[in-house]
Amino acid sequence: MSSHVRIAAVGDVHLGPEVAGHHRAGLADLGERADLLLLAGDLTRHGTVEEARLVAREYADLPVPVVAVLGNHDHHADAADAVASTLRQSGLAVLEATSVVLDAGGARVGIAGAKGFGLGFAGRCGSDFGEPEMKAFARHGRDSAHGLAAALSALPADVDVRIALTHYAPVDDTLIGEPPEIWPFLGNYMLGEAIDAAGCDLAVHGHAHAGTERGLTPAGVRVRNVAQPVLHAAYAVYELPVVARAAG
Amino acid sequence: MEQPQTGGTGRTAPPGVYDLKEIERAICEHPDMGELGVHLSVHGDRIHVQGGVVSEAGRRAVLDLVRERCGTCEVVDELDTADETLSVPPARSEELR
Repeated sequence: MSSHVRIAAVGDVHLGPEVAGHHRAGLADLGERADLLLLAGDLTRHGTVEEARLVAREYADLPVPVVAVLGNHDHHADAADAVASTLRQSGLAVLEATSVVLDAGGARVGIAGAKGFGLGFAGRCGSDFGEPEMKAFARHGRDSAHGLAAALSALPADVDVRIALTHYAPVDDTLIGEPPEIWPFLGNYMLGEAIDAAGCDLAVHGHAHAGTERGLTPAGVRVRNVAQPVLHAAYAVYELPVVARAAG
Repeated sequence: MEQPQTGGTGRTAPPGVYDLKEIERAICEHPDMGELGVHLSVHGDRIHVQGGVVSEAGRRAVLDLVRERCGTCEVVDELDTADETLSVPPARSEELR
């Protein structure tokens, strides 16, 4: 028996007072189109608690579960914990090096999430060498990937679908369109390595507003850049096949 | 930023590359904007403002700042705003086989 689970996803909505309610209007028939909604970070513009309250209202009481990670904008006011807490109070699952399993669309869907960070991609990435600032940059990039790997490892073996949710890009395929000079600030090949090691069915990220929607990891995991300026829509929907596991 | 005048046109000379980078940085770091995706370039005596901003209010704020910093140079608005499509449901889904 096979069926599909429908994953709606979008990132980089950058909600502030001037656009509050706009995205909610685009989610009016979400329940008819999707089984869950992933938010790939940069939900606010400046990462303030006031903006987080707008975000919480935007996604409260939707007909499907909502799972989010934060992005770099959501950290700008140094209030990321309070932002995440505000969103959780509204019923969103906010992941950071953590995972969640949901029953959605008749499937057990495992989602591991982390913001991720820059570092770059194999052959042209930063390294843990030199000035303290450079080492801190490289270490945060590496630690972010380790956090995602740990979250993926924590998913039960029997989930039907395994999804990685990040803000930063795990591959450079989806950065095509962005100036190459800034790619090391847009993603991190070690995120892709973690996704491949876990055998994910789908990886979703945002951050690259001028990038490309579709990409692949070296092992062939589908990667989708769901930054809203890339989608030109309220969200995208990906239908993932679910093959029922044999009893016993 | 002092604006030298061009001869007889009534317009100020366009800013240099480093001046444009300073303006891009100001747009990025301005507490009311935080727009990281705006790029400025000079072609002839016109300043082209390209990239994406969140909203029409963001577009106005960016253009106001550019005009304020660039004297009477002609500013060409080529910005996209994301909120035009924020309420648009997807046309179709993608089946991942």
